[in-house]
Amino acid sequence: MDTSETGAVPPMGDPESRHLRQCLREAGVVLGMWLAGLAWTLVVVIGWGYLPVSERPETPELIWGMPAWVVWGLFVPWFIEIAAAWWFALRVLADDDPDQVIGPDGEVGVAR
Amino acid sequence: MTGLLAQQPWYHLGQRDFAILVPFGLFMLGVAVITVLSHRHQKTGDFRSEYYVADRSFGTWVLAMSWVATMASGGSFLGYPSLVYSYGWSMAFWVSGSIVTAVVGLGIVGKRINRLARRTSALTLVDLLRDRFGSHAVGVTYSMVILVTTSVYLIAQFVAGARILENLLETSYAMGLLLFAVSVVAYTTVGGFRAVAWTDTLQGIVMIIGVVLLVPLALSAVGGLERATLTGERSQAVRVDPEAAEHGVETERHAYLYPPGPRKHTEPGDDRMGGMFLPFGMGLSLFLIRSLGALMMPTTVPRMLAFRDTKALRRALIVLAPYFLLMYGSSLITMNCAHSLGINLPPGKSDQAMPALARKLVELDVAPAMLAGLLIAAPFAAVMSTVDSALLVISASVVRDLIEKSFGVQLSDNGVRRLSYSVTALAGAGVFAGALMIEPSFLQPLVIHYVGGSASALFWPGLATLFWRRATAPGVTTGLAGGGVVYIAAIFVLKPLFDPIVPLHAFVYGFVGSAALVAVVSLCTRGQDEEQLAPYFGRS
Repeated sequence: MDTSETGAVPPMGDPESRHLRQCLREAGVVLGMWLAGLAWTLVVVIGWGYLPVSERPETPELIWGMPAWVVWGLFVPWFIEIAAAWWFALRVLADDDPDQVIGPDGEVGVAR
Repeated sequence: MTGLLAQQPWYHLGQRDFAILVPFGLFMLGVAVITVLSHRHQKTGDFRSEYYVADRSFGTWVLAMSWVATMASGGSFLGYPSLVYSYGWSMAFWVSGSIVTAVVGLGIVGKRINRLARRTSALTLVDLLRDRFGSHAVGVTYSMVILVTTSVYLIAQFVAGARILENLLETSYAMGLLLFAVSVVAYTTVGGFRAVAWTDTLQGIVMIIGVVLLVPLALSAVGGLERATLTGERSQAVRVDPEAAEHGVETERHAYLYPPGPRKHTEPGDDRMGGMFLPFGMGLSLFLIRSLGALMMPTTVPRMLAFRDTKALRRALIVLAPYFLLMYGSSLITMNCAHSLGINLPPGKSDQAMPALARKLVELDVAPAMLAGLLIAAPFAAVMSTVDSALLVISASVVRDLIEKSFGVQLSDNGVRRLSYSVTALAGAGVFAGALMIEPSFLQPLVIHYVGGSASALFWPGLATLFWRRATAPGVTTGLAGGGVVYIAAIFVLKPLFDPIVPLHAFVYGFVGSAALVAVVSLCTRGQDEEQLAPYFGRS
């Protein structure tokens, strides 16, 4: 997969700067996924999970045998996050430049 | 069984059921074969690179399975099921941070650590930190934090491994501990990182097969999930905790269906009967720990230095994304069926819920007898895969980070080989002694303290080293030490003060404290020269 397929940062500057910019971009996408997961879970858990005892329905709503708040607050966002992780792996995570080793005196060699 | 065992010598092995012994024996044989094969690799090439990062040769499956098998400890296969068994569906919130664990753990730092480690020939993360700042203080502090947190964690895992063998082989705790210690320490010492990674791969596969197979079997035995949740005589909706009832603590309506869960002893030995296990602030803390804790965990980070290329990382992420759902989702469903199947464990014994369910399904003729061996091998595999990685982390910290790099002792290849073997074996022996003397009564709180404590100290210093040009050695060192100190202070001082207002896990205090210390101290001290930064960040 070349970088154009993954939406990588176009070549500009030295290899280390390019690598850092791409890593920061990828980290930003993951941060967005993390925030989305947190927000979704908290909204559902606060709204449907932490109910005062008096407000709990006599017959709790079930989906596939599980309390509805579990399905909407855990399993649904989990499936969405799995799809998002696959999208991230296939479309965002770019291949790196070929590696080089920096020796103690600054000489450049081949990485292992 | 306990009464009979009490009459036997400590080394007696009572298990005679081949249906249990054969699958378990085959699993152990697989581990032995892998160890022998791995050891052959050490006879050629650079010993250090082979022993600590397996020559940076991990492909997709080894990276994915060894990462997840190390992440998932006895806590995932004994501790979490035990909590679901005790607190019902309310524990869904407890594990919700795992929805993003894989992408956070691999996606943010994986490529960056791997690239920098190759360019600078770093064999451990401590190598990277020390070399970036040219500071021994950073290296020594990081190594000490790793040594302390990993040792505590190892004791909990040794106890878990011993308990599984005690149960599986019908023997004493001491014999279970001895067998566990000898087998894990032997293959870790002899095989090094490659053996650890390959056995982790085998263990990761055994773990997921075991736990997922339980779902259809448990559902079939109980007559459907709705029956277990709502309508059965022992369903979660009508469940009353017998110990709570004995103490006159009322079980609130549908307590097992909604957070914060039923009021009971929050931990065995806790004298505050009627305590709340998962108030909202604690649930939020757990989301943060479970989602962010994986990022700089000492036992998982070595995998980031060892994979072959970005393709391996990409494919590993694709494999791992659904793994946690299968693992925790399966436990959530099966353990909510356990009570309906008549599994009634005494207080303090809920860590046995998973093996007890496996045996119950065999007893009910729902599962073939041979399957019980596999189902019991799954949590054992989880414990082994965590312990082997932690032992190597300790060995790398002592030999590579402290003796060779920080104290500047020059060692030949053979010297490193002998010292690495000795330190790995000695660490195992030390933890064995610890587990024999200090037997924690409950596994999961220790696991969470390891993840929370290490993340408090290591998260921000690690991220700042990798991504922040302005980070300095004093800033990172202060963040490392300060994060740990604030974490401990939170347990004894801050939590008792603030819990009546918002109950949070100590991790939150340590995490915020460490971030503030790294940022403030770095900005108040002199930044690095452009020449020092260029190999890591390029020219600005």
